[in-house]
Amino acid sequence: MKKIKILMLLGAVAMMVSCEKKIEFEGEDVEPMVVVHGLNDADNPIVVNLCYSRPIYSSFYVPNGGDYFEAIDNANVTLTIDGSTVLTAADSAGRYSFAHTPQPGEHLVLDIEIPGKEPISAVADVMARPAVRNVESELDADDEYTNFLEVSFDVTDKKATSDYYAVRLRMDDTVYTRNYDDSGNLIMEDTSTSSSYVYYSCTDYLLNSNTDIIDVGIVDDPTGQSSYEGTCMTFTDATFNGQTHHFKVKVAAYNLYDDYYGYKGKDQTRTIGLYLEVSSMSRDLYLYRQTSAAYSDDEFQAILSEPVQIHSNIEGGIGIFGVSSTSVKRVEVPNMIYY
Amino acid sequence: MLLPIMAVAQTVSGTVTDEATGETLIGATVLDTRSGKGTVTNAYGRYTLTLKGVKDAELRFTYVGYKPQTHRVDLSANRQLNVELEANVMLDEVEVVAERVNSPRVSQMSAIEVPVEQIKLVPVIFGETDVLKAIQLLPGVQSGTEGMSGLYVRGGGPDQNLFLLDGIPLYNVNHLGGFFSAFNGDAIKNVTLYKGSFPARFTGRISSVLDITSNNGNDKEWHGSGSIGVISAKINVEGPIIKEKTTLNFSLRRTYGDILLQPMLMAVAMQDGIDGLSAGYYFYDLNAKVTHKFSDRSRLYATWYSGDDEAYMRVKINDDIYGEKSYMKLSYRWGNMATAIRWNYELNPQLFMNVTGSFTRYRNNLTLGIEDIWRQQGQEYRDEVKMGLNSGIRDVAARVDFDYAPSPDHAVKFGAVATLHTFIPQVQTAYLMSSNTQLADTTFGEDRISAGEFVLYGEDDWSITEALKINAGAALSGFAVEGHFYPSIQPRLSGRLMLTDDISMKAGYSYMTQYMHLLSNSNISLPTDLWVPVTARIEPMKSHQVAAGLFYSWKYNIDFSIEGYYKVMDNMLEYKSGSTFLGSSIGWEDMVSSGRGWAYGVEFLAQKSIGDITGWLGYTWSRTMRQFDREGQELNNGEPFPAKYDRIHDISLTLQYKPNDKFDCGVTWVYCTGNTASLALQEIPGENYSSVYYYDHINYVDSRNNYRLPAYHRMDASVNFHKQKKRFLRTVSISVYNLYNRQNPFMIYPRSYTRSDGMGTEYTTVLMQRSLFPILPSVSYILKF
Repeated sequence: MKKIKILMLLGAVAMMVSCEKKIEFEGEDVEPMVVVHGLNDADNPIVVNLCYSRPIYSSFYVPNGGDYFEAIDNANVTLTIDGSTVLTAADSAGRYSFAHTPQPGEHLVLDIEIPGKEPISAVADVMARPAVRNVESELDADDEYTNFLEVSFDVTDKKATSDYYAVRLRMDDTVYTRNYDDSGNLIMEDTSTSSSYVYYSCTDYLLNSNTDIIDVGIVDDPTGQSSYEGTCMTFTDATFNGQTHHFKVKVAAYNLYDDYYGYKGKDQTRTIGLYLEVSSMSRDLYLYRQTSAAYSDDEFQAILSEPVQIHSNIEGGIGIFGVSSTSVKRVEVPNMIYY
Repeated sequence: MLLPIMAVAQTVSGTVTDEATGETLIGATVLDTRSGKGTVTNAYGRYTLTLKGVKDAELRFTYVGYKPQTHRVDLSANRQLNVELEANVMLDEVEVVAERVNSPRVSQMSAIEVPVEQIKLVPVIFGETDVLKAIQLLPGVQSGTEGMSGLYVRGGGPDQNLFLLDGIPLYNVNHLGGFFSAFNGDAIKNVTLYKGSFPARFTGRISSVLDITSNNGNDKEWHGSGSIGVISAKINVEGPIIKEKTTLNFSLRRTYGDILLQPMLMAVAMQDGIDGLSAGYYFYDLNAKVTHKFSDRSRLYATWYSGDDEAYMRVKINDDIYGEKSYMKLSYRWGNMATAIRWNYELNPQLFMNVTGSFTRYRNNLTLGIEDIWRQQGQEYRDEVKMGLNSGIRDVAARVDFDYAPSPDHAVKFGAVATLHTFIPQVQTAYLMSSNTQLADTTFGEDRISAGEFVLYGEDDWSITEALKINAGAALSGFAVEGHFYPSIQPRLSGRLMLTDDISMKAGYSYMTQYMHLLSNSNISLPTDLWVPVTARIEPMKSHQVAAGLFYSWKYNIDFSIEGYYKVMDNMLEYKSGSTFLGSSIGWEDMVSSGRGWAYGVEFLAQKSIGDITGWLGYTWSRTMRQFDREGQELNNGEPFPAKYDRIHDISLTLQYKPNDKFDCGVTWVYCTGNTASLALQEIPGENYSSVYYYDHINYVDSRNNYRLPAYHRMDASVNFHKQKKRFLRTVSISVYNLYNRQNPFMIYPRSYTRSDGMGTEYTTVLMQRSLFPILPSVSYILKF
């Protein structure tokens, strides 16, 4: 009797664990597609990267040092500017560079020809730089331990168009290192600069967020999607079309001061520069940023939410080609209040 | 002398009841065999038949499973005729002809009435009689996720179904995440599903109406039953408080797993030095109905329903050494409460009135409490934390309905409904005490939203000729919320044309409006699901539906029907890609996209409701599509995509065999095309892919719901053995869910493997499937007295 009970128990367990199994992929054959990665800014020459996608339900081998995605180095890539000028890109292992720095107002057409493949194309409009004015900053101490820098600015939107924006705060961190001889004479000075985007929060009603937690990486925009990389808001002009809107954002102040890391002395000094970057972009670029951010933030993929579809504007392929135009304003960092 | 009689119309009215129990019979046919004029009893068992130009009539009363009766009636004046029909399940099948809602003779189409006795014989998971699981087997109804009670009717969503229990809307019809429905089969008398061609009296949802009527109770003698199954125990008591005047019907169902669990928890607690530990999960349903008959013309009904789920944990620790006591309580409770008082009154033989006042509530409460008590220098100190999270919806409604039969050719219904909705999207409470000092006692987010909804409706079931009958009507509704007012005029029309005595052609059109949405994260019914009203940004859902079909009633009481439909829906909501909703309504409007959908299909049904062998065979061919292309709200790049439950083929066969009173059995087989799923087919570099961010890959989904899961099919079976004992009837019920242990897909997902050989790495990804239910046998023991 005991044996029967054990067998019954084992049978029940076997039935439950057998609830997971491998199944055959029944879809049509998936061929690798051409992936175009072309995120550009109006201040720099245009670059696009080309590679092939990987069909997921397959098996492939990557030698050590090889690329996971196979770069496309035999493509003929051209750029047509406002319907007339045609530039041919220079090739470098899947990276195609153009000797052209885009200007606001330009209409760009990217054409890609790869032997044995259907033609691929994409279009991008270079938007005007956003009109950013009245950039001000003020220290705000919430309590005796925490200081915030509140940055405010105005963005004037153009009427009669749907505009798409991104706001970031860039921190340029420059470290000066000096070497002296025994007599105290300066024999060498080294300067290194790194840039990063800082986390910030926004209490703006426009952004439908009342968070005042500084350490958040995700900020909602009016359409409810999350910003990418946790340091950027992307939003539309849906609620302030044709008007000037006053923005306020908050950033933790403790790491904006050159003595925070102890870089103060004869041998090393450090300077911090804080810059407000407000970008305008095309709708395609905006949707790509949005979906890319949603993909990164989607912790419940395939369980509680629909998988994110990354936006693509590539005809005949996958990916993004777009140019954003950025207005950069320096943000003054007032002296910190110490308790 | 006959001229005055010829010119005057006289009315016969009354109630049709079961002879043994006094239970009113809904949908019984009353037919004057001489003139061919007839009618059916309404939801209260009442009928009114007005005949012109005849001095007497021969009325034949028929009802499925009952012996017909014929009464000769003198029509020199209006007459009251109450009829008690005798049940006879062994009746010769050809004798019974009744105008069920799905019969060829009625003008209503796209509606199916399923006898409750038949529902009870449908084999279901763990042997729990389940109305919604039986309804899922009907053509045009999709079941959603396996094991769940959700209904997807003709391409609609699970929030687009109006569930009426004795006319009271219920918002949550599930227990245990949808594994069980909230309707206790022992308390139910009649179930009718409307999938289209909605009569004007039904408003508020755009896809279906499930109209459930509960038992009034036996008005002659007391009866009862009790049962113990794998999951729950049930008790049902019914009888006359005042014989043939006041009746009571009371049903209670409760799961008992948590009670059995307590001794084990106590043992664990004792081992771990815990002084008190209780935890578990249960659900219960309580149905009570009191009916009082003032006279043949006047009746009062009081209905009560409450059903809750609760997951709970309570911990108590006493530290005798330091004199400390600690308590922790956690409770998550959600469910419905609905109550109504209604009064039926026959104003005159041609005009019947029903007045209803009702209250319904859905709540979802999470409470957490932690308390520490200790003594120091002779004084008692207390630390306390209490947190609460509450949401729900409450409706207070008043309703008046009239049935008016001015002539044999018209059956008019009209009425009005006024409802005050109170939405409680989310209220958070916090109470904090430290060392007897209160630090916080706060309520957040108590932004209740009140909304008013009114409906005026009128419909006429009009026999234009012997062969042609139409039901024409309209509902005028309005919804006022936060300064916005949404009006709607909803025309309804359906008609039937008798092609022969047994075959009819029917067609119908209906326009429906829905003023509230269900925010739900998944296809599983979770207690965090929230009902929210339309807003300035989110407009009401609307649907237009046309349907046409052929209906044939075979002499052996098998009804055949084939219907085609086309339905368009607007202002439907879907979550944006990647958006999730976890019980917070804050900012919900930003997380959803609004779009449209359309569905079309053909449904075939063969249904046999009486005899030794009963059951139905249903087949549906259908497509269901969605498109979200409004600027800023695009899904799938604005392109159309199939809905998740776009199942092209759907077959259900259910058979019950009851040769005698000692034995019966049933079998069900379902087959349907697999659900769709959004599956990434390509892997592409992410935004930051480079030699540094080597693993920045994106699983690229080219279009929503682009992959079809394997087909779903399953067979269930049950056998019931009955034995009449001296004082009670004993039933042993054995059922098996998923008889041949089919592993049906619940979800699919990729699984990746890597294998390095020192020279490089091989990457492999395969597709995995997870199933929910293997073969599940169960046994129930039922006593009926």
